[in-house]
Amino acid sequence: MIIFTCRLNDLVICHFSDFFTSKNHTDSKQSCGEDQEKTGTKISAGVCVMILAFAFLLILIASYSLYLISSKQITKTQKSKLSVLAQHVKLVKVISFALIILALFLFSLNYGNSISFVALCILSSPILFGLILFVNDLKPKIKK
Amino acid sequence: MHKSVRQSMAWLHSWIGLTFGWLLFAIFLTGSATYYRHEISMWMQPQFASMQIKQESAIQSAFTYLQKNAPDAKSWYIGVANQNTPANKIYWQKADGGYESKTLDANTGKELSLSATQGGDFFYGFHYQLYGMPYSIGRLIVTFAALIMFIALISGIITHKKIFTDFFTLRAFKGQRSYLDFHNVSSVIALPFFLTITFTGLSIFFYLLFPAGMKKAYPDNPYQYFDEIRHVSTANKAQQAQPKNMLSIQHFLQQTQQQWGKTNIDNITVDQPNTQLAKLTITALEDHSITRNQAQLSFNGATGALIGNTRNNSAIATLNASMYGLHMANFAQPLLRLGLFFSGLLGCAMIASGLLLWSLKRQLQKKNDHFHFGHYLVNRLNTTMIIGLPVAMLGYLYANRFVQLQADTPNYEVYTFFTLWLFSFIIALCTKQQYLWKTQLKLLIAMTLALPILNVYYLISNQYIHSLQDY
Repeated sequence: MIIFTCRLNDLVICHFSDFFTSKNHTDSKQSCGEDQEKTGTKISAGVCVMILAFAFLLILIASYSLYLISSKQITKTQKSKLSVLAQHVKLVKVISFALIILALFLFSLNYGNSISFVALCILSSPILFGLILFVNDLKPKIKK
Repeated sequence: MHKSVRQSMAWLHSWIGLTFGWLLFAIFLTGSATYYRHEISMWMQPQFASMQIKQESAIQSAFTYLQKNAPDAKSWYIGVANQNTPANKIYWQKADGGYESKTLDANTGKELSLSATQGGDFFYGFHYQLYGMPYSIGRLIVTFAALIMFIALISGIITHKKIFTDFFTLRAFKGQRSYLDFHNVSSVIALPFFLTITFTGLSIFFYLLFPAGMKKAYPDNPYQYFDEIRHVSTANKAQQAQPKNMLSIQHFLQQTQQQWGKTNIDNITVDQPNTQLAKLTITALEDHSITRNQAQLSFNGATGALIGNTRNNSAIATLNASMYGLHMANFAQPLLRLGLFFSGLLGCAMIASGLLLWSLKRQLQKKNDHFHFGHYLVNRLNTTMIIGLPVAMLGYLYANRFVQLQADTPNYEVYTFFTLWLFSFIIALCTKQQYLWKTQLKLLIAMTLALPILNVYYLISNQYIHSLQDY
C-alpha cells in the first residue's frame, strides 16, 4: 500500500508538471503505457492497472454505502452489523460522493481531464449493474 | 378524460417506444458492434492479421504511387496503414474534379484487389444510414429515430416516479413487475450514456432535421460548412499555383519526428501537390481528447516551411468536434471501449425489456382468447429483432467463413445477413406463441457456441495458423 501511495504521488506530480509545462495540454493526456514510451517516466502499466482497480473499488464502496442507506434498505441496515451507517446517513452520503470524486481524480490520472468524466459514467455502469445483481435475490422462490 | 402530465408521458413513452423500438434496437445493437469494427474487419480478413506494418515505408510507397499516377491532382489523401487497417487507403481529386481511390499494399505499394467483404464497416454503416436505400433517406430515418429516442428518454424520466428510491431494486420471477424493474435498472444506471449518445447522434446530423441554417449561410454550396468547421483557410486565393517539385516525404517525416517523437500517423493530406502552394498536413493517430483533437502539423510542400495550425479552434468548431468525438469514442482505450460496448448492450436490454413489457402488459389485460393481430405481430417482431438480429449478425460472420468473396463478386455476406433476418421473421410468423422464443434462442445459442470452433478449423485448414497454440 505504501509503495502504491508513493507511486501515486509520483504520478500526481508528473501529471501536474505536465499540465503546467506542456504547450499542448491534450498531448500530456496519454494513457500510462504511452507516457512511459514517450516521456521515459517510470510509470508502469502495473501502476495504471492499480489506479483503475483502486478507482473501481472506491466506486463500489460508495455505491454499496449508498445502497445500505437507501430508503428501502435502511431499516434492514439498522438491524445489521453495519447499523452505524444508518445512524449517520448524511455523513455516509458525503463520504460516498467524496469517494466518487476521488475515483474521478484517479481516472483523470489515467485518461486526462475530459475523458475521465466520461470514464466515470461509463465504467460505473457495469459496477452498478453487478452490485444490483448481487444485492437482490434473483433465485426463484419455491412454493411450499 | 383528463390525464396528469405523468400519465400523458407514460402514454407517449410506451407508444413511441413500441413504434420505434425495433428500429432503435437494431441501431443500438449494430452501433455497439461498431465499437469493435476494426477487430471485426480484421477477423473477416485473416490474411491481414499477421501482416507487419512499418509506417515509414508505407507512407513512402503511397507517395511514390501518387507521384507516379496522380502528379497533377488537386489533392491527395493517404489513410496510412496501421495496426487496425494494415493497408494504405488513398484517394485523390483529379484535375477534372472527379475522385479516384485505391487500396495499396503497405509494404510494396502495389494495388490490392481486396475481397468484397465490408467487415465491421457494414455494422457501422447500418447503424447510421441503414442499408439498401439512398444515404440521405437512411440517415434521415436514423436521425428521426434518434429524436424519438431522445423524447422517449425524457418522457421515461418523467414517468419513472421513484428514480432514486428504486435505483437498486430488481425483483425476479414476478412477471410484469420484473420486466419493469429490469427496464428501469438498465435505463437508469447507464442514463448518462444514453442521453449523451442520443444527443450527440442527433447533433452530428442536425443539418438533416434543421437544414435551413446551413442553406442560409451557404446558399451555393452547403457542404462548404464541413470544410470551414474543420479548417481555417490559409490559401492565398490571389496567387496562381505554379508547378514546382515537392520535397521528399522523408524530409517531412523527419520534421514530424523532431516535433512529436516516435508517433503513429493516421493520415496525410496534400492540397495542390507539386505546386509552390502545396500544403502537406500530417495527422497523428492517437486521440487523447473528446474533441477529436489529434496532433497535426502542416508544411509547405515545396519549401518545407512549417505552417501554423490550420485547425478551426473556434468555440462552435470545438463543440462540433466534441459531438463527433463523444459519439465515435476514438479516444477510448481498451477498457473504456469495453465499458462503452457494455453500455451499448445495456441500451439493447433496455429497449428489449420495454418492448417485452408492452407485450406482456397487453397479454395480461386481454380478457378473452380471441385472436388479436396487433399483439400477434408485436410478439413476432419482438422475436425477430431481439433474437433474429443477433442470429443474422452471426450469420454474417459465418458467411465470411463459408464463402470466399472476390473483389467483383456480389457480397454474399450481406445477403446472408438479410436472408437470415427475414428467415427469422418467417419462422416467428409460423411458430406458436409457446415455442416462439425457445426455437430461436436455441438457434442463437448453437450458432454462438459453434462459431469459435468453426473459426479455429477455418484458420488451421487455410494455414493462417498452424495449431491451437498459435491462435
